[in-house]
This record gives sequence, C-alpha cells and structure tokens, in this order.
Amino acid sequence: MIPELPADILDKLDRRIAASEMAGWLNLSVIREDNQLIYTLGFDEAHIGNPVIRAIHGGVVSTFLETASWYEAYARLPEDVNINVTSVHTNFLRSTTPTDVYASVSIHRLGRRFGFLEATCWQEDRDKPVATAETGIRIKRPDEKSSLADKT
Amino acid sequence: MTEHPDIPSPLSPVQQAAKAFIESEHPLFRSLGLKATRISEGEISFRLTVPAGYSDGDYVHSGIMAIMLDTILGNAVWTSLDRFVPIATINLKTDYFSKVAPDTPLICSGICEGIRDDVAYSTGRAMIEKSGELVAMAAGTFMVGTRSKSKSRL
Repeated sequence: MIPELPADILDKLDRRIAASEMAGWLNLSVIREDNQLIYTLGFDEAHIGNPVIRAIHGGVVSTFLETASWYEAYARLPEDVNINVTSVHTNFLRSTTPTDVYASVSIHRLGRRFGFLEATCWQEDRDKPVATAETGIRIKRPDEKSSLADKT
Repeated sequence: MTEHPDIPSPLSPVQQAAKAFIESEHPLFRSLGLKATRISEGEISFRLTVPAGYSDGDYVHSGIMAIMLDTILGNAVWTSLDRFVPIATINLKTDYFSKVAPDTPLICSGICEGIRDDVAYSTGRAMIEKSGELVAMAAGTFMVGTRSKSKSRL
C-alpha cells in the first residue's frame, strides 16, 4: 500500500529542494494535485544538450525523472528513512523543446528495503510524454539490521 | 599542452569533432573541466571533476553521472563512424555504485559495442581516477542518423 501524502508535504519538499544545489541547478519545483505530486524542470539554457537543435540534454531529462522519483519516495516515507537511487532506466520517447518539463511519478512498490517507481514527463501535452524512467531505490530504515555487505 | 598518449594524432574529423564538442563547445561540460584521455575507434575516455554546484548534500548528485555517461556513450558512437551524422539517445540505463565528493577526479569512459540497423549500442562507466573505484555504469542505445532536427527523436 502506498502511504498517503501528509497535509504539509509541500513545506517538507520545498525545504529539501532549497537545500540541494542540484535541485537548484535543475530549477526543480513541485505542486500538489489531490494525492499526486507534479514536478517541474524549469527550463534553463544550461539544460540544453545540443545547441544546434536546442533540445534538452537526455541526461538532464533522466536526472529530472530520477530526482522526481527520489522526492516522491521522500514525500511518502518517514523522515528518518535514508533513500539512495540504485538505477535509472530512461526511455526517450520524443524530442524535447527548450521549455519547461513536467513529471508525475507512479509508485509500483515501496518495500522495507527497496522501492520501484516509474516517472513520466511531458511538455505542452500531457498525452504526449517525452520520456519515462523506471527508478530503483534502496531504502534504509533506522531499525534495519546489518546486511551481508556491511559485515565485509 | 601535449595530448594524452592514448590519443592518436591526427584524429579523424569525426573524432576531432566529438572531442571538441565535449571539451570546449558545451557550457555544461566546460564547467566539468573535461579532458580527453583516450580516443580510438568506438572508444573514448575523459577525465573530469564535478564541482560542488552539482551536489546533493555532501556528495555529487548521481544524476550528473547519467548526464556525463549519456554524452560519452553517444560520443563513443561518433568515434566509430566514418562521417558525422546526428544521433539521439533511445534509452539509457544508469546504475549508481558509490557516491563521490565534489572535486574528486573521475574517469568517464564509453565503448560503442556495435551498430545494427541504425541503432548503436554503447556501454560505459565512471570511476574514481586515483583508486579505480567504480562510481556508475551505463548502457544505452542510440538512433544513428535522426530523421528530423526538431520534430522527432526516432
């Protein structure tokens, strides 16, 4: 079961975004629509991948989707849980234009130690996504016992 | 300044273009101080350091590795071609292994494993230069010769 969003979730997310230099570079922001969070990659010239065709760099889009997925887990898990992204698999569906990109995140599972999320992003038309990404996250809870790797 | 011994002279025009694009023509990559350490047909390596401006907490944000590896995997494709054509990333899988502090010298390398039916397959990794410790791995596919500049990636 996916945890509900707390009433003050945007305050928590805004504080975390303000503390992250990378979130600042991505010009990241988030709004709430009912029980869903919508993330924005605010366009900046630094996000351009190829100056000739002026498309947003694919790696920047991938990073945006990975970051949105991290924040989605952060929003729904307790504050004392540590979240590390282990892998991101991004599919680039359409070319981007030099404008803002929006994303929403679906949570497939947030288990005790691992989570699976899928983010989708779009620009002008939500029905025409420009990229999707499956992200895996390692979840470390404060009561977690040492793993085999920690013992070596 | 002399070039790295693993960089042949002269480079092919495509290899020279790929090197110049990463080292000097792109503002993001200029900020990472990229310098080629190896260029051959289908293989490319760069040395770089990520400044604190791309951090999240005490460490470099993992996404900067995806940005670097996407670029270097694509460049590995270019170095395997005999003429310059536009390419576009179809998909990219990045695995993050260990975190790095800002300003740690890294080596980012990419190999174009092959091209079939206009789809190129590349793999790559980022490592800490001094210790060789793995930071991130990536595998991507790229469309070689995109149809349109602005309307479609594929």
